Amino acid sequence: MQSLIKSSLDSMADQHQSLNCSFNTVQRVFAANIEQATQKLSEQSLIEYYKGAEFLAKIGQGDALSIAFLKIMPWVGEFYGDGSIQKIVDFTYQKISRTPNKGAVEPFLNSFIDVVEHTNNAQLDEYLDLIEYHLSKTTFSVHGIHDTHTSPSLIAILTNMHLLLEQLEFEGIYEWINYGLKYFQDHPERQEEYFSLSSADSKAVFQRQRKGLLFSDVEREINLFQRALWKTDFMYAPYSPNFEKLEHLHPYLEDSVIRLPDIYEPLNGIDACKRYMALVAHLIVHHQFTTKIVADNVSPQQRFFTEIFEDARVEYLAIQIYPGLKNLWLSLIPIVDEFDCDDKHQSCLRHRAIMLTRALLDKNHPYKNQIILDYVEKFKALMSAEETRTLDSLSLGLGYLIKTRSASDTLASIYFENTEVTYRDDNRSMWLFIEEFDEEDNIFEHQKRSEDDEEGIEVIPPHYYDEWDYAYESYKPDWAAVYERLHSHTNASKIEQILDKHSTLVKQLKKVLDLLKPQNKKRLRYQEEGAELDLDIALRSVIDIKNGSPQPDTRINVDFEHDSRSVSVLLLLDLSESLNEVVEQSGQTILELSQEAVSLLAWAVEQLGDNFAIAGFNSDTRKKVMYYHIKGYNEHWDDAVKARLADLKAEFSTRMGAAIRHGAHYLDLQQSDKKLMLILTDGEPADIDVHDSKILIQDTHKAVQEAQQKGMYPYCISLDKKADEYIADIFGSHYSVIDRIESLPQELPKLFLSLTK
Amino acid sequence: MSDFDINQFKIKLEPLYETQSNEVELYTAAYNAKLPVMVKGPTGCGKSRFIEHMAHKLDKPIITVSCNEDITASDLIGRFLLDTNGTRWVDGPLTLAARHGAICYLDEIVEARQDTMVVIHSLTDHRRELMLDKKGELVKAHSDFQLVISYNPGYQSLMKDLKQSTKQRFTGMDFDYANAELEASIVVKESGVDTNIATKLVKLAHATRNLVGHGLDEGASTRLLNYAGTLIALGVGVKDACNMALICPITDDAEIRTTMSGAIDAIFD
Ligand SMILES: Nc1ncnc2c1ncn2[C@@H]1O[C@H](COP(=O)(O)OP(=O)(O)O)[C@@H](O)[C@H]1O
Ligand SMILES: [Mg+2]
Repeated sequence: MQSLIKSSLDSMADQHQSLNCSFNTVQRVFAANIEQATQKLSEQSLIEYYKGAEFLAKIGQGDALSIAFLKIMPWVGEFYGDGSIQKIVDFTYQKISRTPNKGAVEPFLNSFIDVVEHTNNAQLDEYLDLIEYHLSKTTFSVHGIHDTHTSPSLIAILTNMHLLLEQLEFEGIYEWINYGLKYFQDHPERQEEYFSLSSADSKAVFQRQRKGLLFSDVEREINLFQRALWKTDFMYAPYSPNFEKLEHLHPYLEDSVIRLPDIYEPLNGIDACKRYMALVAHLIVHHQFTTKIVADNVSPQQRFFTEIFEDARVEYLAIQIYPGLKNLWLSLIPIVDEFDCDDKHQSCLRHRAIMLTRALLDKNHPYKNQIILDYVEKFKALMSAEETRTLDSLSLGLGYLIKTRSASDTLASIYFENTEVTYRDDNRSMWLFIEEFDEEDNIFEHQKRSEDDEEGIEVIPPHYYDEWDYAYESYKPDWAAVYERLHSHTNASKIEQILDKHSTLVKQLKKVLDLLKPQNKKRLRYQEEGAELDLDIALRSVIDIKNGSPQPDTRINVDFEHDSRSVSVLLLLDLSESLNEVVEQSGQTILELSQEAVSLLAWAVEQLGDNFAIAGFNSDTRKKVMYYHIKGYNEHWDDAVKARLADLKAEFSTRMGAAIRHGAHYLDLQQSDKKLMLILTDGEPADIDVHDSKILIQDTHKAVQEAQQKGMYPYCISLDKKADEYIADIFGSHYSVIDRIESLPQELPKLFLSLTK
Repeated sequence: MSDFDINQFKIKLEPLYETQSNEVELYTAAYNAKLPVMVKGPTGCGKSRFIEHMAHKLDKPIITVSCNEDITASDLIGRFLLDTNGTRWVDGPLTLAARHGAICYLDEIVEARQDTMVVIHSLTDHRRELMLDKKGELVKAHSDFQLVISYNPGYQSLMKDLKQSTKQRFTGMDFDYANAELEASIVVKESGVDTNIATKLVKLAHATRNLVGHGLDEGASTRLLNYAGTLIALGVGVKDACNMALICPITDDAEIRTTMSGAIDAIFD
């Protein structure tokens, strides 16, 4: 039986030299690939190919290695040239196979499918160096015995090679590897998790290394852009195409949220920021001009062409208002060769579509096809009408498809190259599905929900902040996720009662406030111009004149100058669980006392007219730092604000650094000379996912320094009797500890006033 | 003093003014009743132009004071100056207008310190008189005298707002940028660009005005549009002119500038 198979294989490969290998499986794969190999490889490389396949079958790892090798190496040898196959065989044997990492050989060989695709032909050594580097750093020895333990992450990194090479330069890959090594070298499970690109920090570091411009870096510009031109304020949810695991995800606008790629590289000379503008503009004009039409009786191909006319229609309308958009969009619509698609052997649907797309918008398009020209005319005729509708696009789309339909449209091989218009959405918003169950949509919805937490109102994506790791003297990127919310509210009358209760204090404060109010004047003497004549000086000048002095002093007036206040204040409240503790002397909880103190302070600041915001925070691990807006800078001390303050709740932990960074972000935007950040807390920074208490203390210290560098003045008011042990490490000398917590309502406003005098 | 000629403050050439609604009638009525008028509206929307236009129409002299932080009560009323013979009293613009009968227009009044403005109180009620206490003279206002102030409510901050006690002495007239078509026609007339360019300039102004409160305190004014138009009419490139006249003056914020250059590219092809 065996010899029978062998002889038949021999005859199949008879014009080739046979492979000296006893695995039938290998022989079969050899037979299937040798034709191709002979075509692709030089004589020299072909010898390496034979020798390699034979060798790998003999090193005691069964048939799998040779099989993978035979399949892939023809491309590798062709791409990297003579000697490259041999080099890979040597590397495989010496660096991987003879170490405890044997198991990684097959993934290593397989990785070349992607390596060939994403490197240039001089980069083979660079790739091998990279693997060797990773291997040597992760295959560790215990007690001086060399290389005894398998690398926990080699296979993981090899399996992700397509993503790494596609999105990053080698330099970036090294950065990403080094980060993983730094934190997880001694931690096999987390190391594996990191290198399989499944943990959040791994993704974050990866993102940071990616080529291109992050959307978050131009979010404000894009925001202002839609507001300036259309007065809209859609929110954004950026996606990273590769982590969403949804192939060919297009932008789209749904439920007032724009989904768009989180990173863009320049394209056809259009920089990334402009690309985002093109995208947002397209989505908004759809929103303006497209009305949903029923999709149920329309085939996918009909929909496809209808969408092309509809895209063109809404863009045409937009261009009437903003003509400059035309050039922007045109530079992002590819031009293909009219005769490049062979409709005998492949589906030319997309090829036809992209030509039509271009022709509808570009009057200088190069195409000669009569049907295209006819439909451009029809489209023009349509658009010269007073009013057009999405249904008009449908009839054009249907007609065009009938005229151009071809048997090859359904072929599996599709002409794809250069047929995508990246700034355009998937047009989901123009179709109404009445009967059909749209599966894709639902999977997506589901995923979106499960990402969010139980409250389901997380439409605003979190802000990510770095966190300082003192042990490594470096930032952990995008480590803490801060979600912002408007604080919940209840009845505002509670706050009024508090103010009544403290009416004596309110009166006292009034006096202090009056002194602080900006009517105070400073007297400025020796002014050329001024409010009043300064008699002393003036007389002196008169005398000088009478005495014939050629240059009497003309600065004979006094003037007055305002001591004006230009202060912005953020009061940041710790709302962690511990505030629920009852203070014995008063029978109130710390939270209630804080509430009173804040009410008084807010009242006082309102009197002064300083720009003032109140926010609260707590955290439940780095994945969920909550930042609650209680009073915005633009809000007055009114019932809406009081109602929020009345509903204060305390729960979870105190990840203070992240909260300070987020608060600083907004305070920094305020336009005033002085920016004060008051932090009211009852304990040290802490969170349940951090066991070394020093980490968050040091991180908060960093956050404070960052704020100071930006010109803010962070100041802590601590209610923790043990604060002296750590507070100076965080705030330097900028803090006070209030020992008698029950006196907080009196102390807080006074403290504020003295700070801003 | 008596040979002082108030007519030098009359406006010789009729200032172009495109009427937006019934403001001419309203103002005329207020003038005839000698009621003080407060014209409110954003910078550069035509408030001053309107008052000049009305002064010309009514054939009355007008004395304009641009207020600023350093302006003092004496700057309005007058002061003693030194000369070789000792000191000499010189009427300030407010006194001049009251004494000789002119419209006194205090432009951008919030810019002045609020206590300064108390001096106008006695001129704005039934007394219509002005006490020059340093000189010891009580000036009774001329029957042609009227007080007009301009005020930009968008500017409001807690530090810079008119006192209620001041506001309550004036009748008010709201002004805003003219509607797009009218504003474009103003730009055409004032700067000499064609309607097509003027319409686009107005679109750009609207884009900036949409950003008020989002990093801009005020959008581009009609005045700035005229500047841009004038530059374009002189042959400056459209985008350069927009940057120079419309974007650069209103913001230093790099991100807003990026946005606006995107908007310029979208509006002009
Ligand atoms: N209705 C209008 N008619 C004619 N020109 C106008 C009008 N509105 C604004 N302008 C133009 O705008 C410019 C600025 O107006 P101006 O009166 O100085 O503004 P404001 O006093 O409101 O700050 C004027 O020089 C003029 O060219
Ligand atoms: Mg579309």
